Amino acid sequence: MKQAFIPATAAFAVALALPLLPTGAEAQASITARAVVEPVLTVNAGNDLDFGSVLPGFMKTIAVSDATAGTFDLSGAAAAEVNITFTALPANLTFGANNLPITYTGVHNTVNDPIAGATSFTPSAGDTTPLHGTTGELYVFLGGTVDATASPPAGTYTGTVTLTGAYTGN
Amino acid sequence: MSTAPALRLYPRRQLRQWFIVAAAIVCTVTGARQLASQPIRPRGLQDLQFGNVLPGFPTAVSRLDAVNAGKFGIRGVNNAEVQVDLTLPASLVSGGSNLTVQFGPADGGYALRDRINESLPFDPTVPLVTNLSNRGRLFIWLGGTVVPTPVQAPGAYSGTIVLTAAYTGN
Repeated sequence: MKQAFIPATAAFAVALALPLLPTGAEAQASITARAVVEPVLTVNAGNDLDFGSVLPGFMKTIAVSDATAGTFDLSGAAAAEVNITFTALPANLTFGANNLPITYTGVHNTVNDPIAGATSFTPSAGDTTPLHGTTGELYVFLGGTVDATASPPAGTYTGTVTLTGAYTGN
Repeated sequence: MSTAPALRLYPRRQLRQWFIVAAAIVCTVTGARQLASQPIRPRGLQDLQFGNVLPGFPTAVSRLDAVNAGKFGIRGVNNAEVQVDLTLPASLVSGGSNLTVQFGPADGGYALRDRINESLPFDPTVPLVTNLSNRGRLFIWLGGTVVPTPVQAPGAYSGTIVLTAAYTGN
């Protein structure tokens, strides 16, 4: 009788307690992960660098502020830092097998102005600079000098200049 | 009515067993009621914020970043053992675009107090089993990394992180 009594009581205790144990109950909460992806950097070609007619025996210079200076504009994330590099910057313009030596000058600015607030840089070296803090724009102006003192043959001399821009991650 | 006559009906040894079993019932039921009366309560306290990210540049948020790390708080029974599961997105979404998000083995942090610098690391992709504090609290922090492609579409990306908490019964 005594031995039967204890298991019965224990069973009663377990039966009473088990339904109250909430070990299977779970609860949830959530948060949100957020990120804003900035625009991809774009580079657009503007004006060609155009020296017009050049007289044999003379040099001719186009300033960065001249109307026929070469121009590029970059657009991306506001205030993001970018590298600008001329990945093609020929030392000569060519006409057939004939060469016309050329050198370059450059400025960049976060507004479309080659003078006020513009920063000079050496085109062959490129530069690192931030885009405009609000618009995300950067303007690049390219001037240069062609040297026709060697009296090259008459003709239309051309060359391709390519500007490459890239975010630095800063 | 007095209980004295009843007590006299049982041998001393049997009475002692009655008492032990009764005490066990009282303790079990009391403990069960404490658990049942305090369901586990997780709450989302802070979103995981990666901020502005540039295409092509992975951006990480440390679990120790008090401003940007995701944060949950859990309340429940003092010292109770709990299991915490995080449901993590593989990517954040903006319209039809996905942004890869990664969670490393040390991107989770947990602490018994709301002190991020006291948090211990854990792998948020693996269930965490630990105890609540002696005040019934647990705090979880979450870092991670977003990996935008070089041509990632710009926009505001988001994803939901769900924390599920449950008593283990221990």
